[in-house]
Amino acid sequence: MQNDPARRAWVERVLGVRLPASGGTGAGTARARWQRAQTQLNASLAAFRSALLADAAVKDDPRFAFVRAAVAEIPNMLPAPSRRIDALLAAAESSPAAAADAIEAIGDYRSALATTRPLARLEAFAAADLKVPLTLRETLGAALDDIAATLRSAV
Amino acid sequence: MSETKSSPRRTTGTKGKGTYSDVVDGLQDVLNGIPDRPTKGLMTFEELQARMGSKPKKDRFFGKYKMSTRYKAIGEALEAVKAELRNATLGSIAEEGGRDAFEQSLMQRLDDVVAAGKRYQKKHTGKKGAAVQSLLDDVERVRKEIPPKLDLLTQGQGPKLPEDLPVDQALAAQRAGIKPEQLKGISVKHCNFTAFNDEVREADPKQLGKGAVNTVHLVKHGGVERVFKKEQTSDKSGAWAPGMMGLDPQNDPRYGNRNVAGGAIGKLLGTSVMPQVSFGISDGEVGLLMDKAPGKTARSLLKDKDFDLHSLSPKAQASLQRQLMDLEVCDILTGQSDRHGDNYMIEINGDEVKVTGIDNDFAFPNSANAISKEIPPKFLGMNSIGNLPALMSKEIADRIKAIDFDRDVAPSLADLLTPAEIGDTSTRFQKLREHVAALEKSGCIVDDWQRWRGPPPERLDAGTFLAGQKKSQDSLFKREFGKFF
Repeated sequence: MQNDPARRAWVERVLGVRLPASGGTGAGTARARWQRAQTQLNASLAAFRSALLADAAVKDDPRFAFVRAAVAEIPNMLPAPSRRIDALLAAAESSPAAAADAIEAIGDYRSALATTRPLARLEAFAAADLKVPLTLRETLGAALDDIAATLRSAV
Repeated sequence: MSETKSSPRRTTGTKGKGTYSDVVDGLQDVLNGIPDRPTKGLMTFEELQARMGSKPKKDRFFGKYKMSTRYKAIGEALEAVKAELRNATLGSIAEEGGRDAFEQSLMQRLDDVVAAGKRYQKKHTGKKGAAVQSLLDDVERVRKEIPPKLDLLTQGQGPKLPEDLPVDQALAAQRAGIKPEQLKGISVKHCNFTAFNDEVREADPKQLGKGAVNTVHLVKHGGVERVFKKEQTSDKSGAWAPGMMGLDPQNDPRYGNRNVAGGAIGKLLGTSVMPQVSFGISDGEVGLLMDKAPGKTARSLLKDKDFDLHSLSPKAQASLQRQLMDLEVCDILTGQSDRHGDNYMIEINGDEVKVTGIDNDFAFPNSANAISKEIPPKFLGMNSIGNLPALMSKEIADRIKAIDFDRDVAPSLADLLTPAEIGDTSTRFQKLREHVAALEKSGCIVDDWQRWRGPPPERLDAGTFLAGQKKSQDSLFKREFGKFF
């Protein structure tokens, strides 16, 4: 909505509210992109989890309970904390300084993502042993690149 | 995932009890917390029987049935290589002649395992030979693990981690970006980085509290909440207590080690009032991890206007008295100098009471530099108990009598404290042992805290006896609960 002046004007007129300045930092677009990436990520993880836990050999293994518990931990394997990016993007909607911080945080997160070996091992395992494509790093990495580009062009 | 993917090729095990899957074995390298198969790489007698479809030839040896000893020897040789890799340290690798020599030695031993396995397969071409194939597959998996693990350990970026840190711990530390200087003053034997790190935690840490010296956070691993306290390699808080105790807070505080040593003392005395702790990693910091102690601090319990000691059941009161006296004994032995009401927790749940001493940073003073050389130490303005225990539980007294300090205690403290601090602990232990003899003579060793009565003519019960001590600093019970008498 922030990039659509007609819709902004309509909302402001009909609802009687004043929306934040449009397109200032590109943070709204960036946030939406980040949220979309999170949704994709969660869907991929859910698909992986379902495939793994439905595998007959895994289900029959006496360690199944451990597998189920360990799989629930996978989100914690992502570089922490992604919530910092959420917070900075939210702040960036009204502050160019926060946008600069967000760009820096995104760079840090990108590097952490690239060097996280457990995630690489997990993706390799998913492809080789389960034949389920799991592209966590690619999904997040692409989103981070887009977000950084959006913010850079606006700052 | 279709059923066809779960082919028999990918599974081994005992039918009817669940079948161990290669997929889950593969997951072990990816996710934490998945246990090994029982005697992974070496089938049990029953598994071998299931694989073969018939019982292996009975091999009578000293009257026992055994699997083929050659098959077993092959499995054991493989297990030995795995254990050597897991427990290898930079020090042990150097002793072997360096990384390449160490790798070569492990690879050679794996070659021997493979050769033995192939010889076995030549002789046993049927199902027995096929059974050995799982061992040989495992060899190849281990073979692939060796170079990257050794590379990470020996060629990691930046300075090297301590030489006595086992490979698995060192790798977890490297993944978390831990620098060698963060491990200064930390006993590497008590590091459990593989179990406690950011990769396996369940949520971001939550700040629990902040004191003059430390900030503590709540972290969660495997469904268990623990308290994390960042280890300070240099304490610049300006707190005066460490100086009074003769410690060197700026250069060598070793607070974490003091807590670990306190836990070791509690364990040796057979009491649960001292928490068992280890070192872990949180947010790229190394620190002490302790299970979250249940209940409230003694101070907040006593601030509750509705709390009345006499409303507790006789069993709960007896349990509280016993555990507070157990904590006193531990504090005297560890030279704990700061047992104030926020430094121990009390949980009361019907008849059940749990007392936990939660902060043992200011323990194990160095008497050579301390301002008090008394036992117990008396540091102005600090919160140590001023006297040896007025009562002592029989279990602890019996342990103190049975313990040989040099044999049973000193080795547990060797990598945690300085020789001077261990020497002081030995002195406190001897004093405590003499005190046990005195308590025995006066009938103040307590077997049953509900039924015990003091010397005639008063014949006081344990609570009234403790509350009747002269000064509030004479016992923890008197100090905190004396007002109820």
